[in-house]
Amino acid sequence: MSDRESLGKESDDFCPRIVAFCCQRSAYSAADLAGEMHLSFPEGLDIIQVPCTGRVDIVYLLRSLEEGADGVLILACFEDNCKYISGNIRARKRVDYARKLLKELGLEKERIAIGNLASNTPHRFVELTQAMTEEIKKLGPSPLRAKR
Amino acid sequence: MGNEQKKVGAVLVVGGGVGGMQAALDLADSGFKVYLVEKKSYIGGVMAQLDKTFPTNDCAMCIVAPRLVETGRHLNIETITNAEIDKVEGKPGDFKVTIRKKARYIDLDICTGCGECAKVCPVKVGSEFDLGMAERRATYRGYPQAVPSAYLIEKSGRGPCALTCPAGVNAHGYVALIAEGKFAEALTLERRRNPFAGICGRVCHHPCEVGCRRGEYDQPISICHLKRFLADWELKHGPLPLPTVEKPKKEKVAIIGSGPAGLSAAHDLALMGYKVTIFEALPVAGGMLRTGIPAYRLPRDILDYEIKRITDLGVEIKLNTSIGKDLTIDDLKKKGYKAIFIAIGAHKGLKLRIPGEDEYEGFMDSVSFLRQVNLGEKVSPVKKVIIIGGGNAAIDSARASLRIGCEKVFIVYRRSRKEMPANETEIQAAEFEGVKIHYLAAPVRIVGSNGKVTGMECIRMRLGEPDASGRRRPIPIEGTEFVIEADRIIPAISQEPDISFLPSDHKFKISRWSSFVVNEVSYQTNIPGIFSAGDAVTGPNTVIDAIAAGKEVAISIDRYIQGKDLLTDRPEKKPCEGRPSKKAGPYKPRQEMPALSREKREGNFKEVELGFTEEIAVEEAKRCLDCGVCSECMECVKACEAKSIVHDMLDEQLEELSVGAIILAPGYRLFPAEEAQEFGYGRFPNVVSSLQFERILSASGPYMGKVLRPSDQEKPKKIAFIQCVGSRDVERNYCSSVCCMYAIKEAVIAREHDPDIDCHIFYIDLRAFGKGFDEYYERAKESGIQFTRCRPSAVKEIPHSKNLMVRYQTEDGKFIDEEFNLVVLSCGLQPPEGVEELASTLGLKLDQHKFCQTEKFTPIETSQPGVFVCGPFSEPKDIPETVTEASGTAALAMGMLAPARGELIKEKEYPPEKDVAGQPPRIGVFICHCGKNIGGVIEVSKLVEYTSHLPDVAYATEMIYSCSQDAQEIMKQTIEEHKLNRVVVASCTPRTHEPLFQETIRQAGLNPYLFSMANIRDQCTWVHMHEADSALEKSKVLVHMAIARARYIQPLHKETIGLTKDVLVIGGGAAGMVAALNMADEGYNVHLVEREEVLGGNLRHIYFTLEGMDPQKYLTELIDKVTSNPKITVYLGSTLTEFSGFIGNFQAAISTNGGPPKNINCGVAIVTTGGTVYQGEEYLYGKDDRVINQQNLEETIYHHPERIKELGQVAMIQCVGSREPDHPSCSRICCGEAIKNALKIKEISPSTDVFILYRDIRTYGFREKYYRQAREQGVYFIRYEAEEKPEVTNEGVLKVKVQDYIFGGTMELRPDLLVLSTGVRAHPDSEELATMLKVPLTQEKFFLEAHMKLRPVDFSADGIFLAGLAHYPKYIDESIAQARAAVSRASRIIWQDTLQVGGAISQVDENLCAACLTCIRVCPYDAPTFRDGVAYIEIAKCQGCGICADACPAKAIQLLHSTDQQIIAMTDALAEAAS
Repeated sequence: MSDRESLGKESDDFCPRIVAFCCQRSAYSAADLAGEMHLSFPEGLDIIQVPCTGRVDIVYLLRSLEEGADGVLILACFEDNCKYISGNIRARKRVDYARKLLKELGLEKERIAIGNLASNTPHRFVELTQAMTEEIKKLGPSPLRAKR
Repeated sequence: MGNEQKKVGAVLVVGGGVGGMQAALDLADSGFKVYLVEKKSYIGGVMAQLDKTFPTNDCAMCIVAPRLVETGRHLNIETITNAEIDKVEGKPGDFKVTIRKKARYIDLDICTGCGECAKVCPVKVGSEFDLGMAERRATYRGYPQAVPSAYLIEKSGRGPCALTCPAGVNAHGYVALIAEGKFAEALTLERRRNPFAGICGRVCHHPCEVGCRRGEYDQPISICHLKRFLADWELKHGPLPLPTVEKPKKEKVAIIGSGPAGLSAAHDLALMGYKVTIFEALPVAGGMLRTGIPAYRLPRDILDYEIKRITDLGVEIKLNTSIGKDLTIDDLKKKGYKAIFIAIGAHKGLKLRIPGEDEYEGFMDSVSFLRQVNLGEKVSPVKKVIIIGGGNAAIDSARASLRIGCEKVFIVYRRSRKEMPANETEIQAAEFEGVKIHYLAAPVRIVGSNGKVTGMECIRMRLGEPDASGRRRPIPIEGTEFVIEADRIIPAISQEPDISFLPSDHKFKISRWSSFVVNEVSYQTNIPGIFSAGDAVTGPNTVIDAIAAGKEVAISIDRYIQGKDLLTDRPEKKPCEGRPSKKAGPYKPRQEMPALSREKREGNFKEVELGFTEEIAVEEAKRCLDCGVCSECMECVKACEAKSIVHDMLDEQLEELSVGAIILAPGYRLFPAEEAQEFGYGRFPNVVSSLQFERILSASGPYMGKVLRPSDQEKPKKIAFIQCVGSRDVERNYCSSVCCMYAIKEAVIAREHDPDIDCHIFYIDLRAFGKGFDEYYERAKESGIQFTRCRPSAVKEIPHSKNLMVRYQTEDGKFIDEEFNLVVLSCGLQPPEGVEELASTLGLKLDQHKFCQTEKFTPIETSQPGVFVCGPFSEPKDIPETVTEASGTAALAMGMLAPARGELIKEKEYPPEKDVAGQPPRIGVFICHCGKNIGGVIEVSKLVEYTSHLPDVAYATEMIYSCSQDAQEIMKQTIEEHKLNRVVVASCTPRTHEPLFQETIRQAGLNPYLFSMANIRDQCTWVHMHEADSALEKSKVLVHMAIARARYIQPLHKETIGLTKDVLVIGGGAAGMVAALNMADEGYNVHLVEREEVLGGNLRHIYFTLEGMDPQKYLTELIDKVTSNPKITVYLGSTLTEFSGFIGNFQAAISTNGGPPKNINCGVAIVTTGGTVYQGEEYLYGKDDRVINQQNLEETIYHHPERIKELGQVAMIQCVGSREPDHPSCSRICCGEAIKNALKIKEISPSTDVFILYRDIRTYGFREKYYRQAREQGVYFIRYEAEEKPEVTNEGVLKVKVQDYIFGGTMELRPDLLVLSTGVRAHPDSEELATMLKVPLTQEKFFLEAHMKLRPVDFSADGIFLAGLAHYPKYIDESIAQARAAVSRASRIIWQDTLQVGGAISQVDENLCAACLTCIRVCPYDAPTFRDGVAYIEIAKCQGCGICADACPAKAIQLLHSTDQQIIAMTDALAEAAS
């Protein structure tokens, strides 16, 4: 714990590194539109496009954290709007499960999250990603990051 | 016979909205070439403007954008935007269509859509896409996701300022640039046509301002002062560079006279590279600019500066060199001057020709007076001066006289002030300084004594009829003579050229005003090579006219020297077309010019006007109304690195197309809400149209998705929606069908944005008649949206708050005034603009409202064979119906043109694919600057450097525009040269550009999957524009990830599978038969399976239609056609017992009358199993013979009309078994059926009373007409609420009790016949069939389509389609259109000889599979099956979502192209790059 506390102290200029798995049908387009409208989203956010968030394996979530990300975010279509019917719901369940695992591992569950949005909601993209960044800032850098 | 006629395998689709795109895609996917012609600059139609769609609340853009891209990129769809049909000739099957295209002014093929041009464009206008609520530039594209993505420039002619200028100076351009604070650019632009900004900014008579349209509202733009501001700005900030001179030419040109004409010609000729010498008689250059105009108007340093800029170009001015004495014109020729321009001006003052003129001292003409004063010669002051004349020379003489110390100065002018030719501001300044003006007085005689002038006798004048100049002629009034005392008299009446320098034997043609006679276009005198212009030709005239003429002379001299014709192709002056592109807004007069006080002017020649400050200039320039939109400032040309801008593109071009059929999908026009004056649209800012409200809701709209109202951008707390604006009124007796639902949706979404908003919908009947609509309506009611049944009578604005008072009447007659913050008008649909022209070109019949006329049984065919129609052009309708009809029209075209299918389509040919298996990765990385979009933010070279050291990168480079045509060629060569086997492009987004690059690498022989993209623009440099360092760091991460993935990507190949071309149609009603026939027309064998022993389905029980057609005749003909068609096998009394397989390869078993099943193979299947009539027990149905349903009634009317005559009273009850908790849907057709039968009863027996007890009358579209007709014919409509249903009892007589809401109290009817409008229910067998076909049902057991809006007849399972009542209740015309739509979708598959399946799909590793069946359970498409002890994924069924891969506990499944290895490579690379 002391490790983390000391790391947390640096959080004034701490720029959380967040991996965002974005559904190509909604979140990825919303991120594009945010750019087109010159909205700003967090610097430490790195986007990985997936065909459907139903594809996001729990391994990717955990591996990202293990490799030093401070948080992992899944951005999916609104429920009921998944092109593949249930992909986003499966993603939500997976996030719930992963968060339980984090707890067992002694990590904050908030480091893994999911949000829903549509392709024409760039502001929502910005809000969700900023909210995640704020959340992670509160938690401070991932302790796994220090171990690397 | 039909086969002999030529068929062209191409189709023209008019209109690029959802309808047009659907038709185009269906046809192009089915072997036809498509020309998609769209009037706007983009495709997408109104749907692209919508926020969400009902009833699923899908984001409209999300679902339409992929379709835009698909249409835009389709190899066999040629999208022609900004175009309309001009002419049509030929016959069905072989039309020749001429298309009229409007210029885009940006080359579509070159433009990369980077948007740099729009950033620099100074002209802002209201965006059409945001309905005026946001601004765009004159250089723009419709919306960010627009297809084509190229920009365009809006031009609607040039504005009056530029066109009234004799020299064609682009005033609009520099004014627009000043408004943006781009002063240097503005001055450079001004100088393109006029090198004398400082001079003309002071002394020009500025006809531009007279033309300026702002003057029609308040005052014209102060263009002249703005021009001067630019010159002043340059003096303060240092000189701008001189313009570039062309390659020097050896020829010499001589110009006689250094006035404005001579100087402007010298300037232009010098730029062309000629050696120019000006010969000036005086010791100073400038001509009349210097000798005629006093320094307080035109300071000498300004004049000197602008002349110096000309001599700096290499022009030589020889002063004190008069031609005639020292040097003759012939001498000049001998000295080798190839051309001579005589620009001597008009420096000889005219005489008054009155007695005494030459007798006394103290008399001098204004030319001499001003010359002496202006050249600094001493002119002694006198006490009293009279100046005669009303031009600027008179005013100049008067003001100069004051300045040299004369005490009293008079001007005598023979007309009135109105006719005075001097500039108004000059006259005002003279008066301000103390000059007295005598109007309507003319000199008669000079009075003098002792040889000196003492005064002048004048006579009063009056104005008579206008003379040749248009001014009223002054006429002396006899006996009104009077004398003005004076010591000096200065006539300033006119001047003429002084041609005394010419030898007496000269050969020039000279007019009687001593001026040179020249050709009016070329300005050449009668002697070749000698030109003249300016005052020497026109007599005294303005500076700008002299400049203009000088410029023309320069062109002529160039042509003369180059031996070209002087007269051809000289630019003509166009009439002014440009209209103001925006409203003037509130009164805002021009900015005032600061000036010296009167005291400070005395006794000196200091400049009086002080000039604008930057702030004043910008403020003034912002008043411009941007007539003609584009200002032609040319900033975009400078900004476009791709060089795609072509300002002089021809306005219109014609193109001829050869097509076999024409599909019209021109969409609709929203009712112009300002016509409903009672609601104040256009007058009150917070009354908006429904489409405006869609934009307000949209995240990409004017308020970024925040629900705000226009007047103050505050959150509205209460919003009123007023329905039926422009629908169901006296003029438009139709219902627009979509408004009830879109209003509910808008209210729901508004409250999703902000739950505190109260929404109140005012409606007449709530028409939620579609699939899932009533449920949506009920949910909206439950969520707290208020619904009031009434039509408000007026909306008034409360001035201080801009809130709105809505006046409405409740059902019990009370008037209520309720205050709202925002009012949304639910505007109806009208035929699109320009349809009359379209109709006359094509010979179409339109109805009274100008909708395209169609018939009940041919609902998507126009009155012209071979011309089909879909969407709201034939009747208002919503998206799914439009899309359905669009596919339907495609099917009609396919049927008609079947023999020519495949003849005109292109297929890409590629070089053989390189085998890269086993090769170590050699990755090529191309990093795009995207003009300044990326290159302006990060240092691309650093990114390239970083990239080149990453593992397996064989080559890394940068490109200005990686998407340009030439970049593709470079990419292909680089792949060859460096033996690349993976390609990474770091640029914009894969969403729009991945297919392009994949295509390129495929052309270079690489498998298209060997590609990976890094989005460093949209998601990086655009997001972190102002943080160059972190943008660069992030770009590195993104590129690193893409490369890491590229190391593991593998080539993928689609598999080719065969298919069966036979079609299975399940259900032999109208929909099934239409589908079968259309399929047979296209040449396919059809198996038509019908459960009953006869064909016809529900249509067998329909005897009339509302519109008066004969359904039975239609049915008989249809059955005849089906049974006689050799391609159709009909299975009567038969059912489907088994169904298996996948797209292209289904196996079905058909059992006839329970006999042994017959196995057939089919490539596709169409479900048209219909529905049934609800049979309930409500209202004594089945218990009393007098209670029947509408179908029974219709049979009675048809077979036993005499029985109708016996009826005294008939009551009908609507919504029996519909809109009930256990069956919430509306059955859609019952209202129309009831009205149809009521009208029939009235026709047979007018005395029979008919009562219709209803909840909402849902006669959508044109059925509204019959509702009104029924009311007119005395049918009684009594409304009841779901909670208070009518009570029916049998007390010997039938009694129907119902609550009457209009009159209050209960009403009791005693009908002889009670008719129940029992709803339509799903066919009881639908569940069994759905299980067999593995397709979904709705809760009410209707079949569920793949997507409610855009895939209305597809199932999510590929290869199976849907039409008719099996989908949802509908009228016969709708069933027919839908049946054809199913045909189109099915044809799209089976016209092919093989199918390509697979690619980025899931794959099972048999060795790892534990046969746990998880994948089978989770797949939404039934793609995995159990085969040989392991899971197997049916390639043709897999959609590539990867859900199974993720769910597989043994990790036996991988989603190809998104494998675990590839994704983990990215996450790891990310970590690596970041640390």
